[in-house]
Amino acid sequence: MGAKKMNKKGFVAAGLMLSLAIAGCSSNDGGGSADNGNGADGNEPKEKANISSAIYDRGSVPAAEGSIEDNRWTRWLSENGPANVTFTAVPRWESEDKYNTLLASGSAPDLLFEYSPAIRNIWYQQKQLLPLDELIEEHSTSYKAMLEDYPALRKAGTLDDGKLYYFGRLNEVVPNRAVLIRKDWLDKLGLEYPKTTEELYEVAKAFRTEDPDGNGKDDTYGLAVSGNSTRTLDQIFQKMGFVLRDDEIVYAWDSFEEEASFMKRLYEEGIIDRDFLNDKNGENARQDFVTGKLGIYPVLLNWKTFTTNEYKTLKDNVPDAEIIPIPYPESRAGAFTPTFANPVQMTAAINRGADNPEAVMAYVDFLIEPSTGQTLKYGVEGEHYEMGENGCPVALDNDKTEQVGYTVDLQMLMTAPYVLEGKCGMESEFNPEVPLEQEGLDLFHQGLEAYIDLDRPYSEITISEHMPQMPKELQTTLGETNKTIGDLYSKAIVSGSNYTVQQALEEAQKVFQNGMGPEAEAWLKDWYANNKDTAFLAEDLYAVIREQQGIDK
Amino acid sequence: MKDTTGDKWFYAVNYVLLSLIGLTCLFPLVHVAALSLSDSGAIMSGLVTIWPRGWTLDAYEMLFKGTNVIGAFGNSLLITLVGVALSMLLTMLAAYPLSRRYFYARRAFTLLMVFTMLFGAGIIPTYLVVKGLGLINTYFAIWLPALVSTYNMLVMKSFFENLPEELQEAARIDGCGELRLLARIMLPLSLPMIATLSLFYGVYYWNAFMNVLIYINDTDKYNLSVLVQQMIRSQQITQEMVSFQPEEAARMTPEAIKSAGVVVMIVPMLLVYPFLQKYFVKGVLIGSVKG
Repeated sequence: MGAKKMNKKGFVAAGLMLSLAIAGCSSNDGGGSADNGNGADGNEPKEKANISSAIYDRGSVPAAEGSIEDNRWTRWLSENGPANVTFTAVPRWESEDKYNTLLASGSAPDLLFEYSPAIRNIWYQQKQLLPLDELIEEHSTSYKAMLEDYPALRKAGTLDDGKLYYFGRLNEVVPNRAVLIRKDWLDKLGLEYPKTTEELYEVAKAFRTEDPDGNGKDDTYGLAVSGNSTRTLDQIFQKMGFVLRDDEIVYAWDSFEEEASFMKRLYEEGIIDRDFLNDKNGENARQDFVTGKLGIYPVLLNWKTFTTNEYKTLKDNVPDAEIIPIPYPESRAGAFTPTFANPVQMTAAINRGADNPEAVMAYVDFLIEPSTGQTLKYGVEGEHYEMGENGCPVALDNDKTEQVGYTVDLQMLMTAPYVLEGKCGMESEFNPEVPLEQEGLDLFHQGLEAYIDLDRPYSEITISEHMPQMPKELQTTLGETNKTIGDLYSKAIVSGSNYTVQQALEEAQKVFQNGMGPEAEAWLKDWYANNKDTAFLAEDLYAVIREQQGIDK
Repeated sequence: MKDTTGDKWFYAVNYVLLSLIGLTCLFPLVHVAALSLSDSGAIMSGLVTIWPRGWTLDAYEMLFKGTNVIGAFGNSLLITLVGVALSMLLTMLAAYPLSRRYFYARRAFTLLMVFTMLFGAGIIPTYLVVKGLGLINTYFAIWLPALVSTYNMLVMKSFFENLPEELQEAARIDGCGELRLLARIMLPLSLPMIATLSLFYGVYYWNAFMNVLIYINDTDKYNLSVLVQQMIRSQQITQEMVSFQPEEAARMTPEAIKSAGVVVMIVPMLLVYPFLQKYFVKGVLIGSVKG
């Protein structure tokens, strides 16, 4: 329309304003960099160094306490430790992305904490980590002593170039998996608990068909197979992929066949929930159990949490229910022990770009002190806890309970007092004066007895955190291959006569051949041959258990 | 024209079917709300469907006291309101000149902007740019990179182009300048479209997750999406985890609290939508090209 000319001045003015706005928005409230001033008592004339540390964020810090990077306990650490620590929060379940961006942009903290060995391995591969041998040798006191007392710590933290990269801690070894069975049902039907997989089938069938809860309805299931029960059952048959047999690494095809046949039989006879494939996170199985409809429940569990959650709900719904843990029934592959908690857990590493590694080392020495761990876990004596009769801290039930309990990840280097002093382990978490917890404690003891039977072999090569990290492409392809094999396995179970176990086995072996299976096998065999003395394997796990439990051999 | 019997049947069946489908969509929402108000034993036993069992407000109490959900809610609100205001302002200021036919090099500018829709740099390069500008740990790292959605801007541009010429000519004759024309004449006529685009931007900013996760370091600046995501993910991951940290089991968020977190996150959007709905329905059609 009208010959309106573009106002050039307007352009320039707008451009200038925008760039001014951006420049003015520069961050001036970064992550709260620590002051150089030492606010602690005047006995320390030397200025404290400034270091930075990562800390997991789980979104679980009460609003009144502050944030995970700034609360009473982080301040306590800076005041009582050898350095002023600035914490960088890393979301617990998105840590890989967060660490990637922090490391790539050079803003990662000095001390990195991460549970997952796969993620730590990425840092190692990218050469982001500082080798620790010299640093510990020359500047460490407490951690150096720990390495001498517990050589497994060094073994587990050493990577394939022979250098030590990870700091870690020692945990109390307890079984993490169990097979729980309704003892009251066994008694009612006059049965013994199953000791072989054939007996497992018989008992599951009886639970399904003989109405053990006596309500006249056909509503009881024999065995749960979904969610976490899957892997527990896999361990019984040793269907664990690559396994160690007769000092050699092989793929357990016979276990594949045996377990598939077992499951197929159960499925076709309706002994298990026909809908189990849809129960991805095991919710249905758990509901069946807590409402008293399930006879045999293989689980992955924390004994204390199980007591206060599932066991409590079960007893609320079915007060007469009685459960016991039973040793893994014997399969053709053998009779095994379940997954144990990782006794030597690597959790921390130092960023190669750290300005002051000696200060970080001093901080690590401070973190592993038992008194530090006790304060972080229980609080201040007299305010948050008191020492109980058994010599273990007992939380006080006052208005300050919210002030403790969110510091789980600050304790990532805390070695369990049970390991150092032989007391205050999982057992002390149960309060025997509460009937429910006493029953839970009994269950825990029964579990220890059933599962710490070291004459039995371990179903896996080693604790999964100590398995070596394969090269990335091999790892990814193998993941795909395993997924396809898993689908064939499920298909064999549910397809009736249209698809037999034999067919599934042949097809799975073909997928394995074409999906880099032989390469993975060769890689593992090679790793085993070169590392069987230095790697942390099942036999080392057993040695630690013997030591912790005081078993002679 | 009166409906025949056939027509009536058709409508009846239609209404029934569509209502059923609508209720099916509603069901998960009602279920989650019911979970958030139920007792945890009942939840674990699978007794909760659309009505809370064992009515309790514990989950909300624990959510509000035990996590920073109020702060995160405030942060989400701040990010959304300021983000929408800035985005709408810039989008309008971009769309208006491009809709003026007498704008020199109009085609070229439009093409340049469309070009940016074709590809993105990826996380690390974008992060380095944002870091270089010193925007890390501020909300400008959320606002600036996504300030103008080219798609929305084009919708607005075509809308402006379709406004009747006569009004604009009349305003010009009366001596109206560019900015006044935009503010006084064109915007009041564009309310449906402004409401729609504000809603689009609003939902984008409210749900911002990845950007907040990567650019914001202080946990008290996190928004609701990140907080709720942390609570929900923990359950899924633990099921997949083969290596099991015993103490993490004790830290897993109970189902009721997760549901309460989800409810807190959804409710604002639920409240806003009905009011903007009439604009929304009109607005979606507006962007289509008129003959």
